[in-house]
Amino acid sequence: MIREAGSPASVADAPAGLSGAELAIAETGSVLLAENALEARVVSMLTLTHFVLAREDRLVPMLDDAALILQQLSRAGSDQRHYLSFVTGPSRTADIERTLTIGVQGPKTLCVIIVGDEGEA
Amino acid sequence: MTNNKSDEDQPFEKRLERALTDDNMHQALERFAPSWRASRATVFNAEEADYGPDYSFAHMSATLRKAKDYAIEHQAELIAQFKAQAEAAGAVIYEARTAVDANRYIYELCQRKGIELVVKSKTMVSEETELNPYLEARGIKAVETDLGEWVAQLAHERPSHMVMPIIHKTRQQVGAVLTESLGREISREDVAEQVAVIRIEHRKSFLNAGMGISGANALIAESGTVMMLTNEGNGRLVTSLPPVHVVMAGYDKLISTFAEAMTQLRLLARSATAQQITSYTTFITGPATAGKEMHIVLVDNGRSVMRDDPRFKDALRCIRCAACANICPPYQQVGGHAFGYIYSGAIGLVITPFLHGIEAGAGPQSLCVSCNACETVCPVEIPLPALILDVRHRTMEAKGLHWIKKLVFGAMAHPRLFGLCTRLVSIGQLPITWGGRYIRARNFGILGKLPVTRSLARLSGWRSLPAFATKPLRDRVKEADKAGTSAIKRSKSGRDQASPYRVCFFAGCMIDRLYPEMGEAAIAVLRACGVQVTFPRKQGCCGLIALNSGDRADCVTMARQTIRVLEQALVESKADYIIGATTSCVVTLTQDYIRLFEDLQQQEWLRRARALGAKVMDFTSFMDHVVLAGGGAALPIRGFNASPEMIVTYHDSCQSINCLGLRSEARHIIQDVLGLELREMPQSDVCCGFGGSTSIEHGDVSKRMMDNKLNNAESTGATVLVTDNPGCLMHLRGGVDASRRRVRVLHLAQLIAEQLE
Repeated sequence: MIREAGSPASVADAPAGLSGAELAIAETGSVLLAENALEARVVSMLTLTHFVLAREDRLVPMLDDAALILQQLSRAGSDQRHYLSFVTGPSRTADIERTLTIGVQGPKTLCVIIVGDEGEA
Repeated sequence: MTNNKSDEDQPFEKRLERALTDDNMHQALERFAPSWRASRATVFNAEEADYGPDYSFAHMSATLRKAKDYAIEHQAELIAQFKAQAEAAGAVIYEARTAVDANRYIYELCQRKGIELVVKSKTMVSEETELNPYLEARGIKAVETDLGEWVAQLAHERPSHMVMPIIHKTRQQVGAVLTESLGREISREDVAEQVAVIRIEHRKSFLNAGMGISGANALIAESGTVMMLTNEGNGRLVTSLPPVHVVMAGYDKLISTFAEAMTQLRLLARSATAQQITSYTTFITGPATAGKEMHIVLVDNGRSVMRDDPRFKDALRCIRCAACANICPPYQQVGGHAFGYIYSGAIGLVITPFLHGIEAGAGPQSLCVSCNACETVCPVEIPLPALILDVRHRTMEAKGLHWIKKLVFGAMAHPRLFGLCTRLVSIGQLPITWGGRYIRARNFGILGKLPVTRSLARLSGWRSLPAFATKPLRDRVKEADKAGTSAIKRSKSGRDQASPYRVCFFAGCMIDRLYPEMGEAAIAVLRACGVQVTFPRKQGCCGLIALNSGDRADCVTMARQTIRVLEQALVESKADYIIGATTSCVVTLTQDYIRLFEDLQQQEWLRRARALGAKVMDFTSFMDHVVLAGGGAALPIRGFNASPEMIVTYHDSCQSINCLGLRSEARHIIQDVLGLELREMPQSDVCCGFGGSTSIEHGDVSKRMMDNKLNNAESTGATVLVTDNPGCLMHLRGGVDASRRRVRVLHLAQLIAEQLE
């Protein structure tokens, strides 16, 4: 069953969620999520597996390239984005005895799908 | 475990005592340090290998340092910019002068909105202002949502580390805390189960809280944006779900641009957790969603006093990565609760007096062994060791110098008096030394019971102390020079006639008074290579020991004397260099004097210190870079690998490696010049625990570090442990003697001298 994301409570611990990335960064393997709407954002925070679609033509080499985009998106104006996140892999902690454990508050799995030009067509 | 709420309010000595008995913590920290060092190096090296020298640690650090310095210098301008942008995006800014101002603002906001439950992601500033107890005392529940912070909160403890709050706890202890707090059985062994608990426990809090409080890793002025790094995902929930978001951040978090933020991100993730980047890096500009409120509380709380201080404003560059704690050898022994206040590690020692008063930092600062390791890993180039000495100086001014130190440094500042004293002691010690080289606890006999000598007996129990030499180096050199031979051999080949180099030898107190044979060896080696060596008779103590104890006045006296004596010696002997075989003194002559006279704004002495410093070189560098370099003199040795039975391991003294940057020099001489077998010990560059007076004031801490060093040295199967700083030599020799180990401990100069033909 696929449905539009709603309130945080309704999204919490859904087995999977899907959202789109503004940008992908080769240097760190990160995606940039830039949704202003809370409903879209909580998909990346509360689901167990998070699928992210990123366009190949929005793939930049370095964090420094991403900085220019962050600057543009954060600029004051009607299309200002208030909440930008680099997401790199699943949620994790090593707080207890430095044992790496995946999936604390956020998704346990992050799956980034790069969509090429042909896919667009 | 849950009964030590009061523990953190205990005086330093009590906290230290407790820390020293916490074996779990100690073992965890000792396991962590080497693995952090290795992973940190790997992740920095990878970036440089992939993207070139602009992405090296050194280059990125210099870049961020510049950016942070700019922000500190132009704070008013950047705050105005940050405020304008953040307010335009809908945020409310509150500037809090004190910790209480910040807490009160947040409490009143809760009151106004009728908020009773607050969720928090990690914010060290809120620990600094003690926000949680402030809110709790007023009926507002604040829940920490970072796993480690939450467990610490349940255990009524402060985090013991800036990045890993419960590094001092085992999984069994975590399981016990969770079980007791939640009233149901939680596994003591299964970390995954323990981690899973927090997801279930906090979900309701996130959905029901009226306010989320987060910290900030950077405040980006160009857009009014808050940057926040997290791994668990709690930070994004805290800042997104509750209707009110409060950011707490010190003014020191300001930077100008996103580009600079990227450099900070690269350095912070690598320095803190050896990650290339954290799982979540969030940039928030104004309220995250329509209808939400965002308040940014900018906290001063002592920062403007630091900013006005020409030295301490450097500490405002800190990005709270905790690298200085991770690499700190005493921190590994006692952990954050004893070592720091809220900010632990070296940076804690530096900023605590500004945030919580000089009294709060007085005890912990005595743990610093001045090993300078922190400075080598700081990603914003904060001169931490020098600032700790400044704190020590201020503490000393506020509390006064211990009467014994006052007496000793006062004597040392008068070379003739000091000389006389050491000669008297060299006779007075005979009932204890029996004419031997050591003051040993086991030799005290009935004397160990007398009040005067009892503490000396106790001090020498775990580390035999060196006896004063009956004849100091200055006398031995004089006699040898008069005789023309004997103790200090001249080169057989008589190459000194053709010598290209003339040097003055600066002995330092330890070599002169305790280990003259090390000085003799160094002079013999130099002369064997044809170097003309003179010994300035008027030389005394350089002042290092006084400086390390915060006693600037006596240090200045000794610095001026030393400069005067060595200037004159250079003129009289027409020497090219001043050579010291004590790297600690060399660092004082080349680095500490300059900083001292800069601080005192004594321009003429500063000029003289700089001019002299340019002529001073340590024995190891001089041998490797000058004497033996590129077709220079050959060392007249008995033969290449003339002692095949000898296995050498090398200890990098802190001053040699961290201050003078020596690493390859001694190894090159041992392996490639002498041809001896060298086996590297694990952690060769970690402090041996001497640390000057630290080994007297905190013997337990010092002994543990010494045992680590000796165990590491022995693990190689080496027969000889070599280093080039007499402080380490004294400490390690004493430890070997007291524990009746078999390894010989030699100065590099002695090792070379043994191999001369």
